Amino acid sequence: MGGELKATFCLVRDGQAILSQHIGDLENAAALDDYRAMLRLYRDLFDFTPAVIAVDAHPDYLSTTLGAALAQECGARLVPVGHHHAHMAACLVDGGIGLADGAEGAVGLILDGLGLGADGTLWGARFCAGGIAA
Amino acid sequence: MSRLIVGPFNRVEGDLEVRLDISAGMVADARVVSPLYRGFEAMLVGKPALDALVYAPRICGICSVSQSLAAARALAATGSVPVPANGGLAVNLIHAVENVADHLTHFYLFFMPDFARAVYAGEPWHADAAARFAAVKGTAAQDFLPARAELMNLLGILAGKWPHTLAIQPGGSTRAVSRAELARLGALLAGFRRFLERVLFADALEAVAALSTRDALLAWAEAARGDFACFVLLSQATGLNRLGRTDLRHMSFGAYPSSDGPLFPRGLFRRGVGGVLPVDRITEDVSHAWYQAAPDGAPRPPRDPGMPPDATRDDAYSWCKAPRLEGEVAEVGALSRQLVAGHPLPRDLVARDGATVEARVVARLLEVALVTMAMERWLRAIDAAAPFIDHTPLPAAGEGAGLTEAARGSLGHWVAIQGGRIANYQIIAPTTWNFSPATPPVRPGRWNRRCAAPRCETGRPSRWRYSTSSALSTRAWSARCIDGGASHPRAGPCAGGGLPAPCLAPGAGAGHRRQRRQRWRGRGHPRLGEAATLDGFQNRLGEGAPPLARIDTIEVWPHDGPAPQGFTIAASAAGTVRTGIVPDAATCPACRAELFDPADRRQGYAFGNCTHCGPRLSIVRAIPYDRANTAMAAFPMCPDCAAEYANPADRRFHAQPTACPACGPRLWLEPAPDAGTDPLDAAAALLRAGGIVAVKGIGGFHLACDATDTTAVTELRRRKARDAKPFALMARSVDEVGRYCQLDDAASTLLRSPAAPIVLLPRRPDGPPLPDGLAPDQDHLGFMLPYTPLHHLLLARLEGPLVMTSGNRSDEPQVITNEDARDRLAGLADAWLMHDRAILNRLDDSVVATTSGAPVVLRRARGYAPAPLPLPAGFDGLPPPWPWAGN
Repeated sequence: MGGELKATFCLVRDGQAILSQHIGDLENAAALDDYRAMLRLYRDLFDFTPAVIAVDAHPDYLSTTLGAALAQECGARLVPVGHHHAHMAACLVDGGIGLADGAEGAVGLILDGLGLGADGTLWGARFCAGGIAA
Repeated sequence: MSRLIVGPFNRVEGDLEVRLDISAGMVADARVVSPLYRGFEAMLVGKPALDALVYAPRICGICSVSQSLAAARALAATGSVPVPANGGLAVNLIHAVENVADHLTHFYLFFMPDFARAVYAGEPWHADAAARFAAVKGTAAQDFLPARAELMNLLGILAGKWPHTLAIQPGGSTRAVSRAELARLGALLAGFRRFLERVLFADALEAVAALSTRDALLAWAEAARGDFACFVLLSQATGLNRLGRTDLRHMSFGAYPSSDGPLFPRGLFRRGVGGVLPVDRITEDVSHAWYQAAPDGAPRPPRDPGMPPDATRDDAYSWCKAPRLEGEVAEVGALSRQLVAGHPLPRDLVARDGATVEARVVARLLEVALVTMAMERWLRAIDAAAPFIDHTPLPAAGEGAGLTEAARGSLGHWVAIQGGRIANYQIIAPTTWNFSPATPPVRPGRWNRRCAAPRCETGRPSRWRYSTSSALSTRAWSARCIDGGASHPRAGPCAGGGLPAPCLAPGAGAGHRRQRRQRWRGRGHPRLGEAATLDGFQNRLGEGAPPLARIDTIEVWPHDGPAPQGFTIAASAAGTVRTGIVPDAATCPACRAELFDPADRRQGYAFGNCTHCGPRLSIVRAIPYDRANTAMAAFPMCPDCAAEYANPADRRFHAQPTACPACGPRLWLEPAPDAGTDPLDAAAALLRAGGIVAVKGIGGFHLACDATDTTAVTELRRRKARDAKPFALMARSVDEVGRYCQLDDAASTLLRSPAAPIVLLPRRPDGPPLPDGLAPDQDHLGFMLPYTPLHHLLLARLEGPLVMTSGNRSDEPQVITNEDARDRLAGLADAWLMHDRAILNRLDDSVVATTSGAPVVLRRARGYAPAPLPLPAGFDGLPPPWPWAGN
């Protein structure tokens, strides 16, 4: 469960990612309702109960608070992830680099607007070094 | 250039956000946007006059007493209602409690916690500041919150409740206070003074009130140990006397009247000079606000009725009107009030540094001291034996203004009464002075001016936010950015998705007898047959699989017992049985051929589909994916459709959404055309005439107009209040797209794919001209092909491409129900082309670009979701915590 501006969520299981449709800005009530409804529907369609829920590190994103509530409901482990780290990991996976590739020395240029970084401050565009796991 | 949206500012009285265009780290342009229409002024018209006392204070839950007071004074001013001395004193006390509480709430809960943030961790003062002022955990909150609660007991006694008391009336206060209660009030006030003198100031209120220069303030702060002194020292350390500087006229309506004159007088102040406030020269400008312009185009004074709202204006960006004094911006608030009142300390601060964050905070706390001392005087002056209210009735007709000061600044209500009812009610709230939209030529609101120069420190947004935010009860802060260079979530081309039923149809004619049981993700099909023919069958499964089918695995094992007769799909058993749901798919060539085949029973029918195409995710309510669990449950199949559905050799074998004119969804146009006119013909005629038609599609409504008609395109942009975002286009064929845009094989394949996304394509310089308003300043156009029979039928009636933009007002999701379409698209569409197949799940059109022949999905929705994406090695069998950014 990522950011809240162009929100989607993603179920991960058995080497597959089931990405929801683009839902939109969660600050819009109709979009937030959609987000909740689609989470229910996708969980039902794919018979999916999360064991781990990754959320954006920003505690005030509506997607983060929803994720925290869902984690409590399902007894799942909640893992906050830095916004830029999430972008970088997604880019690596999109580029076909998996966990097994040991790509911990990657350098990513994350041209994002704002997101909460590892040091608790808001980051803009950043060069990030690391990989998917860290 | 990037855009930073700061917000939401959680105002109790509505949302507010600030949009900053940032270039090279500097704010190039700022817009203050109030995205919520309140409507109080409109609500009040026609109500009995005294109803204003009930309705108007609901504007705000923080400064509700100020609102009550302004309403009561406006009503009183329509006639001549005398207020007894006790009434004035009691109302002053009620008002003062609220304002003092607001100042301290701002100081302790909103402003000071900023210094506890980790960005200051390297500063020598940080550890102490964090221990004292950190949100929730700091020791200051533990001191302040009980003190504020005790202070609010004054309101319980004097006003009955807070917020939204009805004690305040045009003639005074309904709540007479007994001698015993006066004693109790005195004790509460004494307790509050103790808190101020021990915790906030650590000195006598009189000593604080006597500070007259910045030097005296600094010297005092060195010696004192209270929270105010702490602020003064932190302000020195962080340069708050250089932050948020303005050089505007300061304005105050004056507050706390008494027989000796008001505690804080009405007036103006700028650059050392005071002046008289010409209240009659206050106007409200709607140049960039969503209201109709006055017939003469001039800003209106609030004693005139306001213009009605107009949400379709595309030159507007806020629901706040822009109040101006003699055409100019004025600053309001505690600092303005104290400058006008002539207190030497704020005047010295402003003379040295201008109006800054430091001066504003000092003025608030100075005011806390001054007002608390005044409250003690007012309380002593109350005579419990004398009346608190005068019951002179209001006149049946008249005009009046109620002007007062909320903690945050000047508040005015203007009322006109006719026949005992409200004929006009206008409110100018302090926030609209400080956070108004721009007025021509370019006269930005105060906040805008403050922002135009400073660097944008994205890591530290809160101090400049709070510097003006006496108005704002800001709960939490977050900042977001829409960046022109933002990375986009990318996804590779998507596999078709698992549709288990039809993949078996090719084998049906080969004499096999098979049984297949639907299972989770279509895996594990028990079947019967001989080994040799089974091999052939498996090959044919792969080769003959229809476009949407995806075979995950084929499992074969021996079968004991009698062979079943014929091919069946076993009914989905309840419980563990799961099959996947696939994305919605564009009309397949076979269905399209039927659509235009005069001999076919579905010729001209807008809802035909088969196992290769049609709605899927958009109509599913639950699993298993059977007709009963979709929006098609409302349409029982006719015998013909049922026969196709049951025949393994048919393209519609187990096609859950299958339909025909005899049994399926119906199409109609609203408003209804002449009897006998085909709704598609009527819609096409409207579009040809430059009209805008709402068209119900697969995942939502579109707004359609003729893409070659400049007037229609301009009108659509105006109605949608959409400034420059490009409109999506729909053309009847790839060839027609190719007239306007450069196409390569990859793009053509994408356009024709079952996902039928909007594909971003470079414009052909030699293409036919199109209106500039389609995609201002873009060298690409976004085209898609018709993806439902309805689209094909509509486009076939037209000569050129259509704009097909999402059916919504800007920033809202597209509407999906007929009811919402009628309601929310009223004023946007001229007609509605609708049907009775419900859209259960909203799906935007997907947007795809190509890079070196490879598709890059920019928005993944209709046609792609919910197909799974394969992940690279290492993600099997986890449960993994791996993040997937979606922003």
